[in-house]
Amino acid sequence: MRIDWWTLALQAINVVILVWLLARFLFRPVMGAITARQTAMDQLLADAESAKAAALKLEADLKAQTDAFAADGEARRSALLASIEAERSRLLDAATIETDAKAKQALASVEDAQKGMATQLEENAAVLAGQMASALLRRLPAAGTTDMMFTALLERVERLPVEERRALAGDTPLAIVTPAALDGETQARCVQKLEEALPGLAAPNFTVDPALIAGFELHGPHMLVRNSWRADLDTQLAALKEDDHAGLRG
Amino acid sequence: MNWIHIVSILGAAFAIAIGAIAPALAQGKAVAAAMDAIARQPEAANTVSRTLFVGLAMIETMAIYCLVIALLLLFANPFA
Amino acid sequence: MKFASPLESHILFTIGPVPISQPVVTTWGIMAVLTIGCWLLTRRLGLRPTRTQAALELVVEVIARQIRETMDAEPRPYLPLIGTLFIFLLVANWSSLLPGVEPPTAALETDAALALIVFGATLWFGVRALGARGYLRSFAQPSILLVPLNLVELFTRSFSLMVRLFGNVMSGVFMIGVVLSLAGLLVPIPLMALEMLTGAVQAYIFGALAMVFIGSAISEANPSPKAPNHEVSS
Repeated sequence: MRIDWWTLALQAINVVILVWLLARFLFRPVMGAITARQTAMDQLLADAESAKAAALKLEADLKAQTDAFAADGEARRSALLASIEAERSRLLDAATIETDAKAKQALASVEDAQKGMATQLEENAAVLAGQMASALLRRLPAAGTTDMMFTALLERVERLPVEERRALAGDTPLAIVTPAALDGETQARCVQKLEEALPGLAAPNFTVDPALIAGFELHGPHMLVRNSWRADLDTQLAALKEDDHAGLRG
Repeated sequence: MNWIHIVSILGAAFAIAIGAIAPALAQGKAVAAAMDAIARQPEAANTVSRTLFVGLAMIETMAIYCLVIALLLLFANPFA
Repeated sequence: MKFASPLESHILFTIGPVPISQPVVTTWGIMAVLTIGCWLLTRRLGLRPTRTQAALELVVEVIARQIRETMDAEPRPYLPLIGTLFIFLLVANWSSLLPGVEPPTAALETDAALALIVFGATLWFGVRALGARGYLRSFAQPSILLVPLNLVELFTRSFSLMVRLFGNVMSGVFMIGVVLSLAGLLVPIPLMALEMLTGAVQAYIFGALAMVFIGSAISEANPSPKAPNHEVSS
């Protein structure tokens, strides 16, 4: 056996050339294609990833928008509720105040009516008392009261100031009013006594007025000296009314 | 045919004969072990059989060496 | 009965002083077929692979994955050498199926040339990865006493690479020739099927051993292997 060195060298060269040829025509293009597809796939994946990220972002944005809408609606709703509540309470307060006022007013009017009724009753009672008193007094003899009442009249006249006494004396025609007719002697005595108290007195008339019940009064055109139970009753009635009014006002 | 020829032929025959025994035993052991492995792990049968083929070829190379020696003795005997 | 020696190669013709033997011519034919075939197949490669492109990519991907798993390195620099070895050996071993063609790997010179190229590539890649000094120092690993052993191993493993391939292919061819001369035309067909299997396995083993040699040459600098990045691929 012998080794053919030419064949060995040629085969070695052949294999080296074949390595180069296959690297040139097979491995490089195929690896290039694989790498190109890999990069394309990576690109595609990256695109898909970015698209996914964009979609996620959009979704997040939409969600945020929806949340904002929901929050806005909630805020509006709560604001509306609050305003409704405020309006309601305001109306309620107004109604309460109005009702209170009306109730107070009604109470006041009722009180007024009650007070008026009471006043009326008092007045009626006073008038009734006056009538009863006058009815009772009428049973007394007029002469019994006449002297006393005349004395009281005289005292009142004497207590008047001088100017008024003079004006009263000049106030003609002066009428002497009594509840019952007086006899002549009594009239004369009265005139005399009056003239003592009122110097320059003109001759007075005598008038009868049973409404006086008991008393002695001087009626002039301009002046009046009241001295009778009727006048007292009237004064008391007036005082009663005055009290009522004062009480109402108070 | 001198005695060198006779010895060469005998040497070639013995080389093949003896050189076939040990690889045969080795291949038998290898196949038995591979069968055992496949029986234990049937899902690894592909890997096991691929490795088995390579191993068998490696073992067979020993017998092939002997064959080369025998052929050298027969056809390229440097002393003949 | 006299058989032609399987250890001799016939000189077909001579170009000047260079004798051209039959395996060289067969290799030229295989080179032509492979180159033209690859050129035709890879002329238009697109992003959307056709059937042939998918097959080509599958072949290249499988080889690249083997390189990555075996050598634990990026396959791009080693892919042309390893892939060419595998494809050439496969086609060469199977070329015996064509009548009248003897595979070039059945000649010792072709196998020696291939082993020599693997030997040179081992040195080249080792020096390129570690530097000349570093590669020489890698022979003294793990101990200076192992330098002669490592050196002897460097040659013997190339020699065994050569003899393994040569013996397998040559024995197959020789056996088929013997059976053919003894029995007849169709009888060696089972043997030829076995020979196809053997040829494929030997091509794979040759490529795998080349990967292992180169891988051990480039990885002896860093005894702590870096974490292998196994690619998730089918």
